[in-house]
Amino acid sequence: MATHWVVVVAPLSGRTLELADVPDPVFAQKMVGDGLAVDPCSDVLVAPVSGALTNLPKTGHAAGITTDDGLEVLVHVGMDTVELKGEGFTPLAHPGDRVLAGQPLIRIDLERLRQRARSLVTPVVVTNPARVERMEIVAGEKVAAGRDALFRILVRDGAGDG
Amino acid sequence: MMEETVTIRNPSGLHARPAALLVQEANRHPCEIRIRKGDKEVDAKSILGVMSLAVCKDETVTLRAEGAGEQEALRALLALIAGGLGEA
Repeated sequence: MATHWVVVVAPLSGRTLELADVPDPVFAQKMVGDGLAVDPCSDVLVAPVSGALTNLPKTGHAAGITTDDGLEVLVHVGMDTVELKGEGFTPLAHPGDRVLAGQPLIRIDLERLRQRARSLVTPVVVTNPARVERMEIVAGEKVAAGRDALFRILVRDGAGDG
Repeated sequence: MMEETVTIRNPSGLHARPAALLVQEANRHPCEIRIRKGDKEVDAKSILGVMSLAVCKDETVTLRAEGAGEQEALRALLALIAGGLGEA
């Protein structure tokens, strides 16, 4: 059985937070998945892993990537930002695209969002825990987008996983 | 195999939070569960899959369950959707 590590890099620069400190119970209780959050100070969201861009809604407030190993990584910019209906977000890629870790996906109007969004805290989570053998947080207190790793995942073999 | 079609009433459709709750319930059931909008069908046990359907308010989706406990699974999911998926 081939097991190996996938490194998940920071999609935005900023200060890191544990998911438990994200101001939304669904993310804080890891119901979406396990991972780490970033309180952002940069305005271009980059891909945290390489793979297929499974999800980039028109609202531009989230991005989901499925790696070649079948790991699903979701980045969700801020809390309740779906309600802004795209205001402050400019998608730079299309759903279905193949993307490389570090590739720009969404431009973010930070100043506008600071005024309009309840929170800009951005969880980065693995949404299919069945594929996670082990997860190790590697980020320090601050991370740079596309450069610093947030965490790494030992991927479990996907045989029999739909 | 059982199928049910249902209208999503959440103001912002099946975005991250309601999708997470739907998938969490789907994962409690051993049977295969798929969700379809138009001609796109995905695994209802995958959050990214469900979000990729981009279901908006007042759009309909079809849930299909197949295998052990399919009836119970569909009933639980329909009840969750009727209850507003945590946003009622």
